Amino acid sequence: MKKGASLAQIIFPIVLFAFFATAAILVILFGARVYQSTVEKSGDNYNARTLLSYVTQKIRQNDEAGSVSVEDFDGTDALVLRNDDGSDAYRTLIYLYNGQVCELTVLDDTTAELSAGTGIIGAQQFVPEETGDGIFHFMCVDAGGKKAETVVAVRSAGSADEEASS
Amino acid sequence: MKKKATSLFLLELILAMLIFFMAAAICVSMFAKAHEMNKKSQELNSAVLVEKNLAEMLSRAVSVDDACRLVTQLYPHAEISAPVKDTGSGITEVRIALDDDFLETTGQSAYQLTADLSEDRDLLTAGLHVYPADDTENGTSVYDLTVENSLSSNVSASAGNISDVSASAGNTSDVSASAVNTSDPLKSGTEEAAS
Amino acid sequence: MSAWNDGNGRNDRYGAYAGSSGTSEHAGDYSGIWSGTPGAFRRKKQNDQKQSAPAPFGLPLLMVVFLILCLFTFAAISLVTARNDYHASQKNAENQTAYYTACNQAEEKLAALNRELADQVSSGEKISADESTPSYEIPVDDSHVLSVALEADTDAETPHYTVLKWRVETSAAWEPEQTLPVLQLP
Repeated sequence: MKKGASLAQIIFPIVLFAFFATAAILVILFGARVYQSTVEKSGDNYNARTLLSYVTQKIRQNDEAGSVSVEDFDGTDALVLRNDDGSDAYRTLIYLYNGQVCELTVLDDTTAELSAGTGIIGAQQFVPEETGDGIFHFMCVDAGGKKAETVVAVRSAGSADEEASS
Repeated sequence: MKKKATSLFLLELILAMLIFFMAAAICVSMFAKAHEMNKKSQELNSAVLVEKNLAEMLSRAVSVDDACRLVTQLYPHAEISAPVKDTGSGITEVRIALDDDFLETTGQSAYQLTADLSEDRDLLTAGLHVYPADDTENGTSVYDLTVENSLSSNVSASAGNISDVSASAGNTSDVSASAVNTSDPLKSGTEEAAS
Repeated sequence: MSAWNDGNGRNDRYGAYAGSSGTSEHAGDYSGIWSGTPGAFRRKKQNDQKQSAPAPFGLPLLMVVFLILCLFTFAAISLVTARNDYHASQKNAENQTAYYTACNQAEEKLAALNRELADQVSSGEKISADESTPSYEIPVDDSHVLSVALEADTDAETPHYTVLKWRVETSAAWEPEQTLPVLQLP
């Protein structure tokens, strides 16, 4: 009987310790999973939305008659923003090249190449489209495969519509 | 002696378990709070994007009917109710069902995007709201946005592109002495910022 | 030897556990304490054996310290990340609201100007140069303004103003924080 009692005395702490260790490991794993999902969700769509937000701000800062259009640039659809500071006329092009969305500012009458732009953010797809009536639709798939779309309307009237549609 | 050693070990183990489970309870509540905050920020981001897209479309409208047409371009399955003419408020309600990813759905919806359109003295006012689907009646919205648009200034911009512009070009309300019936955008903005 | 024979049995025994190497050379030292106690020899032998295997004291507490550190790190980082994310989302929403609030104010002003223009044209009044190209600015936030420029279109079926410019511009002065040497000229 004493041997049984001493066996129980040995086994019980071990069992309790094992239970404690298991519970601790489960709680740690749960915490790691929650942390992983938190970081994943905050990174989810981040790149695509940042890019679309950037494009929206760019258009809002250039909304003047005839300034905003979507044109072909060396075989790629690019968002073109024109501005004139009085002495020179510039255009800013935003387009997709080599897995990166690039921005290029050149004089309006200068020819340029796709490789001359500065990369802003990585993306698999970037499709600017003018759906008519001053409404621009942008679709973007970021490097992680997440898709986002946005619509931006140009409120200024004038030659932009005629230039883009011609 | 062995008994004493065992009992000391047991005591220590129980004490350790007590401390660990207390700390674990605090940490699990922190995890739950983080998860909830995450969900709320995802909802807010998506609601802002969806309402912004709709607001941009509505900014090109030349009339309430044209606004409804633009809404259906973006959301083909939108439910548009006729304006409440009897009460004189003249509000056209648009309801769009959205799923968990804030995409339009015809099945089970997780969120509802509503737009209340009204026109007064050449000014189109649209009140945009996103509600959780199970809480639309008197629940708090995820994000509110009020958009106003001067209709006649859009006519020249869209003259070459919309076929029914000529029918709606003259559609401005009679100028009356009553106050302009627009919701206060500052108030709705403040309410949203406070929520 | 005298330390074990001072008659204070309990302390002697504990001291023996703590400091003893457990070898039989100390057997003679115990003889004074244990002699005469029933089963003393067996207990002595068990105690000797026990001395060779020290109990794992401190192990659970040590484990708990590490586990709590680990768990608390995860929880704190998750909470901080989620909170920062939520604040960023709220900031974004506030920016959108501020922009549309400014746009709404600009549209209300535009609608009022349209009504005035329609009244002036219908009553046959001449439109001055200032009235034909008005412009105004509406503040968006502390560092941005919405700059609007209009042009009167009196020839349309309904006289109205056409929007020439509807642009968000920076109102804060740009201050260069640092300069970079580009080219040294002789």
